[in-house]
Amino acid sequence: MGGIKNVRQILESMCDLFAECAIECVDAMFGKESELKMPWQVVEQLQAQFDRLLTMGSGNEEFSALTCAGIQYDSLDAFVEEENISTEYAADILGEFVNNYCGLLSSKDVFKDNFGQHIQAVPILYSDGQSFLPFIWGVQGYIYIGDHWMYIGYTIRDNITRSNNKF
Amino acid sequence: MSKSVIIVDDSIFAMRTLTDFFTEVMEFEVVATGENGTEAVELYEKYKPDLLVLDLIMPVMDGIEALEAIKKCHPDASVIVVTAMRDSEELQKSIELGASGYIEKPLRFNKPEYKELFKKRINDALK
Repeated sequence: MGGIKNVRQILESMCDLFAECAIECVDAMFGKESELKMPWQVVEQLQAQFDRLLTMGSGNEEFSALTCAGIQYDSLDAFVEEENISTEYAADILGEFVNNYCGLLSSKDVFKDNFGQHIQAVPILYSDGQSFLPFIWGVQGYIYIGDHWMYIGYTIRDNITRSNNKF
Repeated sequence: MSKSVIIVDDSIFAMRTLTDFFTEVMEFEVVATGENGTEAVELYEKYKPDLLVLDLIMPVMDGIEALEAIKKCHPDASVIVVTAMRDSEELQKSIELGASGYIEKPLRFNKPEYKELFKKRINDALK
């Protein structure tokens, strides 16, 4: 960790790790096998148009990050096998998922070597609304259980150089 | 007679998972549950359970503050902390404050190897 880095290049080298952690997290939390139907990729702005979108900030002195989990109304049932999940419970499940996902990422040496240990902030759930996330390079992708999917995005920038800002 | 446990976690999902594990696998009696550190302190005073399971990151009062308050009055309290940040300063501090062990999130109770590991940690915490 330390020094000026091209965060976008680091994220590109870690795309598979972000995807693997998502699959590991679904298996650990819900006891279900999920799959990728397409590779995860680095994008200049994370997506934000979902029925439910949970975001959680994290970071340390050097980096600020944002983790997002997005899902459609009927998809969460496939992950947790419960019906009629309330908005409050959906927020709880997505918040716990993001919390655990960030914990898993932080346990990987390659993540720690590049970004250090992060402290997590309070998660926020957006429901039924349109959200706009900042133009900062990030990794995003989908994991599937059958035809149901969950979106996960992770964006991070260097606090000092802000070298990962698109603008 | 089964051991008593209080579980404190601000996540409903985690609470349900922990409650299922302690009742079905450990065969403990869950005497109370709470959602923050203040409730942890109050519930511990009321029930004085054999074991307290305490999430570290919570609103109102976090797990570290709750652990410190409980240990101050009950140095022999058996407390297991729960956290997703396994290398964090908070986890290290909780051990220094006298936590008897920890369980890392995600709670992989559906995996036999983790189930056995956590059973051992919990039993060690009660010694």
